[in-house]
Amino acid sequence: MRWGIRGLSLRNSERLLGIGLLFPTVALIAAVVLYPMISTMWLAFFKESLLRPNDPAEFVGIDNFVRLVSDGGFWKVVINSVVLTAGAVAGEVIIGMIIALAVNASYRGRGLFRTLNILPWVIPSFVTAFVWVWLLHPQFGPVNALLQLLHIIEDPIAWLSEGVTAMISLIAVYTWKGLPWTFLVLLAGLQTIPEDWYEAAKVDGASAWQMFWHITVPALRYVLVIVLVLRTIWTFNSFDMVYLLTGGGPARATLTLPMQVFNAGFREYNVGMSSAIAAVMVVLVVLLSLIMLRVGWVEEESQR
Amino acid sequence: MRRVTKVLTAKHRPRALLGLFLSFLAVFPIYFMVVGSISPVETFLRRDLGEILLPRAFVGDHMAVVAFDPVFLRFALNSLIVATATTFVSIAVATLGAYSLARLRFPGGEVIGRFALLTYTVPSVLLLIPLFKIVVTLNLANNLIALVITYTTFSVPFCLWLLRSYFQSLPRDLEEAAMVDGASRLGALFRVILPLSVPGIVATALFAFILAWNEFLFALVFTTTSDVKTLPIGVSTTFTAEQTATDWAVAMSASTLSAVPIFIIVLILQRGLVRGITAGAVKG
Repeated sequence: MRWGIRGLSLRNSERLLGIGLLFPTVALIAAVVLYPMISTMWLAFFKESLLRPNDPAEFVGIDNFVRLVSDGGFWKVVINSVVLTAGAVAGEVIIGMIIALAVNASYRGRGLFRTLNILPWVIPSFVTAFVWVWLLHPQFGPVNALLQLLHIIEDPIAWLSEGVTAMISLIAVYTWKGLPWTFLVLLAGLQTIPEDWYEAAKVDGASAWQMFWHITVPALRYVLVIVLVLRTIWTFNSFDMVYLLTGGGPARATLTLPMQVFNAGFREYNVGMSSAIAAVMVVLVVLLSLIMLRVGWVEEESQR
Repeated sequence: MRRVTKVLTAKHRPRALLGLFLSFLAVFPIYFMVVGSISPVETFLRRDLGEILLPRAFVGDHMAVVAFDPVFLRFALNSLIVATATTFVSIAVATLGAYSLARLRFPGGEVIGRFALLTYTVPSVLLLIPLFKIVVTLNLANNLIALVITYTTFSVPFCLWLLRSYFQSLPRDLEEAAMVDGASRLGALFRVILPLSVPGIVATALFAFILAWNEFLFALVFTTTSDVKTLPIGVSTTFTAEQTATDWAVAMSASTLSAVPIFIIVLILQRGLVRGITAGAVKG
């Protein structure tokens, strides 16, 4: 009896300690992420100016959303976000997969190769933007110089000042920056596939293409879903490189949802509208997060 | 098509070459940046590709202009303060949390840990206006503390999971032995677990540092005066006169210098960085 009580109280004190130690983490996330998130969703139903924080916010119901949906410009922004995200994620996954398949073997200098490759992912985004604005510069940029040298183009292209090329450039830069992560995760996934699966398939006369579709892809299913979902969310949410490279321009050709949330809030001081756009973003992100968690949990359960 | 896939899946020696070639493609813009920052300004004007790749001469003028610019140094100092403070606070908070998740099981702990990770799926722009209001209300606008608190929140979940898996890899016997000898739980954590975890903590700390060093959006909104701007905001608002070739040389120098701490961290961590960055996405 004594033992039981002592054991129980020990367990209780351990639990209390456990909760206490995790408290700072929970408090930070609640104050800096959770509360602002709920607050934004709430503000989406109000009319308020960021310049006059002391004026009471006026409740306007779903007015902000109605105005958004009926604004043709907003749909253009949604499409821009989707095009940028789809383009960059597709580029990363396809190129990342090709590289991962190509280098999935040990060779000299592999460590150096991976270390160098991580650079685009870890350097500050403003550095990425600076470098690419220079590379793509119509007058000084090496990209035009190279294309002219190869006679692919006659005259220099002002990549970032024309609608279509600006979007293509953004997709290229996002792909370049996201590629290291995508590639490394896919490679780590590839390395968990036993070599003898391929050996057995070869004995049965499978072609390389068949092996890819019937061994590699199914084995990487979980990793692929994680990569697709996370990269989609992160690219979709990304603000800094759009802001730095094109600022959403020319005109509204590369204006994305995060840029628009920022513009509405900090250039037009329209709190309600900014929050409404952010709320629309959240709906999509929450959906994707749920898919991610579900796949993750299902996979874990099947491993037990 | 068949030939291509054969090359891709069969074991081949040219793979090493292909790997190196692709890694060159990945790194060449960064290489251009570093080389551009020490190239004569004519290199930017002539647009001779060979010269851009391998300049005939190296000059330190533009580097010196940036490195001795008090404005740039102020930005760098601010970045250093914010990133260092974020690193220390993140490690303190995450160490406690990670130990709790690794050893002190209680109902809900696992779920809290998972939900913490969801932080990374939240669009940062979503938090801007409420956080800006809080910052203004607390009189923390143009105060580096606002940045440290925000960055800490975003680095903690990642640190939490890295440290948790590190703690889990340590044998329980060590703490139990210490506790039999009369140490409390916390005593065992501080005197037994932490000293053993130094390599893991250093690696985790460097991740937090990178995150804080690179952050752009919150710094853009929370800091408006140049005495508190960090490098991302300071450099991108001050060194962007894209009119002349000299401007470009200076801009490349500022970019290169801003990335130096990142280059150093990459050199220190190497494979550890790769493992950490892909952690969580692939189990095992």
